[in-house]
Amino acid sequence: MRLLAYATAATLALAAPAFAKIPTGSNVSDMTVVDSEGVTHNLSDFEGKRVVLEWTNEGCPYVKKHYSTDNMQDLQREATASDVVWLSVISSAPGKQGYKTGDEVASWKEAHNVASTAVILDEAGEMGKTFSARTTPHMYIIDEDQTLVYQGAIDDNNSANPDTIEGATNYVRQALSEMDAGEAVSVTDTQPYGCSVKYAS
Amino acid sequence: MRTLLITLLLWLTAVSSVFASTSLSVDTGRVEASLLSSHYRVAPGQTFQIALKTELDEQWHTYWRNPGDSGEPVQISWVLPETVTAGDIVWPLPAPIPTGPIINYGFEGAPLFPVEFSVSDDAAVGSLIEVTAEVYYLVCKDICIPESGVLRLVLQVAETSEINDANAAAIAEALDAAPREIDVEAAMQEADGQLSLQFAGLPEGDFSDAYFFPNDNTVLVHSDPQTATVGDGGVQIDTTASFGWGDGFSDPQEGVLAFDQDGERVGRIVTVMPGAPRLDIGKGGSGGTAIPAGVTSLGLFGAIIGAFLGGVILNLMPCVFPVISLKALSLAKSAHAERAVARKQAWAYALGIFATFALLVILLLTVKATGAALGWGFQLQNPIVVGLLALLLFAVGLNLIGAYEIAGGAYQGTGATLAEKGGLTGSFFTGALAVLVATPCTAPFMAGAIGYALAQPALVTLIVFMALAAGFAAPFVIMAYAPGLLMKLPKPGPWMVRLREVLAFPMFAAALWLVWVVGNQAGVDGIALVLMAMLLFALAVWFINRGSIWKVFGSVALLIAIALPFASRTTPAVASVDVATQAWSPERVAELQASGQAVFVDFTADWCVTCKVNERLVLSTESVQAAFVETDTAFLVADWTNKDDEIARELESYGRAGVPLYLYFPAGDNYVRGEVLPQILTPDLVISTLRGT
Repeated sequence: MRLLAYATAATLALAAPAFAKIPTGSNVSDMTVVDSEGVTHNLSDFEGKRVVLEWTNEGCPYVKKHYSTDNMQDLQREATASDVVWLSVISSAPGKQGYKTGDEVASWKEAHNVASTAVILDEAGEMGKTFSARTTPHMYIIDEDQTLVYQGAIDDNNSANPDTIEGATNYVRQALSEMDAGEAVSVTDTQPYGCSVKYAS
Repeated sequence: MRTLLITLLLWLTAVSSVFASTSLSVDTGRVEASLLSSHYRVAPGQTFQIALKTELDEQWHTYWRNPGDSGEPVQISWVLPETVTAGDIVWPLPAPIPTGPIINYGFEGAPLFPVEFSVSDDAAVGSLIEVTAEVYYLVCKDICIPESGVLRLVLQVAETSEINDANAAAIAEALDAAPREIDVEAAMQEADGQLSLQFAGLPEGDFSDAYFFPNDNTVLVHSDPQTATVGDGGVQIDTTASFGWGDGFSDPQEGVLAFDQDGERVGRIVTVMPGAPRLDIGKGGSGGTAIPAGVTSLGLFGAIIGAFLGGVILNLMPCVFPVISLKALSLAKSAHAERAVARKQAWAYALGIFATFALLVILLLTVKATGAALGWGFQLQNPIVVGLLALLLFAVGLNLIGAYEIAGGAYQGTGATLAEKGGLTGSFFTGALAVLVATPCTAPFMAGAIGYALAQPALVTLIVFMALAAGFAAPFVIMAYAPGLLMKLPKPGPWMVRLREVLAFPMFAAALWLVWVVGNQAGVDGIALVLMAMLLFALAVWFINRGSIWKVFGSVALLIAIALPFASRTTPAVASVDVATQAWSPERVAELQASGQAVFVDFTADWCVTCKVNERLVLSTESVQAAFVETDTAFLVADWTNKDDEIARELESYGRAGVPLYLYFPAGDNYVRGEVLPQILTPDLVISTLRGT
């Protein structure tokens, strides 16, 4: 009888969420999220397509660096033009920097020509914590087989200064073009840089 | 005219140079920045220092060279005349700064960033050195703002140098407090995502809270706790490896090892060899912080002694007493019989204790191996187990009071239900029962030993628990072998029946307490289920006593009685101390600390008797509560009545496997490690801790 109780305890423990990184190379198919237009997506819906996840927070200086220069939007356009699903994720809790309602997302997208496929509202931080997203921006690439192939920074210059974009190696662009060429992604993990994600707790 | 101008300029610089050894301060928004020079005048060929001083608004922080999970380091770029060269920033000791689940390495308050300069030999006496610093830093609270500014100061080259005493003293103090290089043996190894670092040949200091800040930000996972284990030859830090190990590290890794020295947090720059063989840190010690009762660092030997003593003392703790008194009774019965019988029974009892401990440890290790965060007392975190235990104690009580007898003869044995067969089986199960009900009680010496044991390899864990079992069983075994002692026990007689009946009441009391625990775990419905189970059990006893066909009803009732507790479902527990308490979370601690408030954390559980005693007799007393109010200390409760991984992890990070644990975070302290208070609290101790006296 007691064994049964222990088994129950063990199962419960395994189900508990943790703030631990998903190892690159893992399958990340099963995750349900809701976008700014109220549409529910499951990552498995995108099987057969590449998915880019971009954690964002409009107020963060490092995000501004990439949006004020159109660097992020250009990358979004390039990617979506070649049928990549681009999900921008906002994990800011209500009341914290970067939090947006669906309407606010719509006007933000229009004002900045944001070209992502959808903007995911993750105010509870569940998706962020599952992916262990630490910074804005923090980038992830999932391949057609739903395998996580890249996670980390957007480029190799961790400054907030927009002038540093020129000359920096953009890891996401590099990985996507390697995938286009049928090659393995050469840089799979980098340290993300930027502001901390503004989780509720 | 020209000469006049030059004279005027020289005169002006001579006067103004007094002021120019400190730059004008620039308010960049959240930070007031300025440059301090150690000298007014510098001589050719000499070295001097200039420090960037940043006064941060309260609760805002800037970042160390490795900013941790997010952020960007403080940066200075110097514009200097050719005659002067600047060295690197001498970084102050960073602190781990938590923001939600994210950990950053940085600074609050007014950190100074000293830099050493050298003046070339050919610098012309009388010439001016204009020093310009373009400074940049990311400053964050809940949001981040990049700020920058340009700071300037002018020094004069002179035959003899002239020191600015105030600046020189401030810089000397900053340099003294900054981590400096030391030569220690240091190695680290990565295996399966776990990172282990060992440091040997260390300077004087308390390394129980040691923390390693790597310069490279891909060595370890900043947001995961670092567990320090102190040995007599060094310290070992265990944490999670970061992705930098994907390609492996071939170069020596530099970083800062932070620890306590004379009550101050200090850091030393160390170089760690990746992949070097594991260093022997000597006899292993307690992970986390010092253990009360004067034991600071526990080796395996110390843990065994502690566990043994803890086991002996456990016999006197309130949870075990009713069961133990049963054993005493049975011993009294056989004391005057054959000596050999008494001895055999004592050994059977000891065997019961050993077997049950072994079983629990194996279960605990098995479950832990699956990755679950469990600690000692885990048996009682499940209302089903507690409910069954309550039912068992109720059954034992009914048996003692004579409501029923188990086949095997009246008044033969004095063990519990299963133990009623008297003889050896009875003694064995009395031992088992004693262990089961003993778990909610923590005896002095025991906590440190168990905490140590659970952090060690399985074999060591088992050895320490066996020492605990030995201590627990020792009094009875010794008694069976000490002829004098046995003979001192009164002769068997009718008094034994009376005593047996009396002992039923502590059993009922213990059952009642467990029902209360179930109530806290599973609410009123849980209580109802257990009480119904008790009712059915009593009914079953009555049916079975009537014999014949009634026995069938009895058996059915018995089965339902046992099955009922399984229906209970966990509900969130509520805290029970009267001061305005708040629920614990690491983030809450960080928030309160950031707001400058002192924090007290009570790791407790309803099934933990030691915790309840401390709460009733110490924490909820008027004088202690007054001290909480007076010192504006926040009272956080981490309730472990039900299973909670986050609490289990926190306990583990302090080298503990169970509750109680009391932590105190002084106001204005930025470290993530709290001060550990003893497990047995006194009002004086708590009050003086809160008041900082």
